Amino acid sequence: MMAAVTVTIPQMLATLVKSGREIEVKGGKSVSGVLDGLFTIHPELRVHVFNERGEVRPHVRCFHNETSVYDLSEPVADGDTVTILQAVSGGV
Amino acid sequence: MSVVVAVGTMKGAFFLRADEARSEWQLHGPAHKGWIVNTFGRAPDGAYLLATGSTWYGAAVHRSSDLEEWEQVVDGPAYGEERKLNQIWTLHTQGDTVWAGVDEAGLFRSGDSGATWEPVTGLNEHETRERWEPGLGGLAAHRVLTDPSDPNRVWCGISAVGVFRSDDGGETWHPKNDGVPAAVQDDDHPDIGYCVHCLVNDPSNPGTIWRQDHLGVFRTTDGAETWERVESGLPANFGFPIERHHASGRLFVIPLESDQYRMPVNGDFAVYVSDDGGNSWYRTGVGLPDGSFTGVLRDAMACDQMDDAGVYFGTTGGVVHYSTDGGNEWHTMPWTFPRILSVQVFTD
Repeated sequence: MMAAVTVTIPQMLATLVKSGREIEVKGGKSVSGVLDGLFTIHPELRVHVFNERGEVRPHVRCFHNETSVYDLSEPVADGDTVTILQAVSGGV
Repeated sequence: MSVVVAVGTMKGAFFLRADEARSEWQLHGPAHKGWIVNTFGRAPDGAYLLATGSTWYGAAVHRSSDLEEWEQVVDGPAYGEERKLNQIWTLHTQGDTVWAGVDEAGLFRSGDSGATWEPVTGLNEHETRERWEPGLGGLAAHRVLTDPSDPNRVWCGISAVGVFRSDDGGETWHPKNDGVPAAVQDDDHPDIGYCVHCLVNDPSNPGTIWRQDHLGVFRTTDGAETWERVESGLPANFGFPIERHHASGRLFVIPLESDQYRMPVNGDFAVYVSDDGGNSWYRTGVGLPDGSFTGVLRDAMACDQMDDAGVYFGTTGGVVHYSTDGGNEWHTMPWTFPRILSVQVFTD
């Protein structure tokens, strides 16, 4: 059975792609694979989550279930969650 | 006819709509709430264009047919791994081409009304590129001028670097700043280090260009081969926007006191105009607030090009002022916005 992972995105990005904040992504075997699946559904999001080097942007954080994840090759299982968070930073 | 004043701010885009009389305005928006909206444009296919940026999420181009529903371009301007694209500061259309000027400084162009973009390598990898240094506002290619009669002729203004011109449709570029003092002298490349703030040209005579520079107001009549200082009558020669109502030829600037202070001299917030191509300037108009120490950024002033010249500008304090008689009488829109980065006008 293909893993189904619920990805939660920030409201600013959800508004951008005219979707709800929770998006089900199927078929990803890792966090990276899940994000690729998300970008297949909403290709506009790639540039907002990843920088020009293909890394998660400095003020964006990615959680797998409830743990901040830095290694995007971390495996995922059916029913897992991936959460993209906007850092509490800024000042403008 | 309808008039839409598009206001790009640090927290979204606002659209102020009126009929031809331009006396009663309605507010629409914000669109892209929470996003930095750097600038607007109009694509060859008629679509409206808008550029967003973000402290968190990077920059993107969006298209709309009605200024209400927006669709982000997926394959927007983007460098490879070697360089960051922080902001998109101008979207300029000439013929079938849309030019995007960005920070870190460079140009991109689109031949399909903004759907896909390619880098302008001749400028982005210019032989002087490694010596380009950012100014206070970043390292931005912020203005593109074109020649309606010669698509091969293009000018680009880059803050803290200078004006470049291409005579071959953007393949090769040459610094063109003779007559302007350098803001930061580069001994190895004395042809860069010029801090151009804004440019405007005469569409019927595109080689005549006016320039609000960090170090004064200048004019060229030979396509930027040589520049001359044109500041007679100005209380200060620093400022950001320079704008032109093409039917009348009237020029507009908003002088600020030196780069150290960047405020209206003694709080005398005023628009200065020239009716003789920059040879002389005079203070114009009534209706602007007394004792205002606000500023106006380089993309935050526009004319509507109607016969009775509509002139609009937005302040760093979030207020939009406008005139419908070429600047003789000024009015204030009844809203206060976030810090205003861009004001552009669309008439249909």
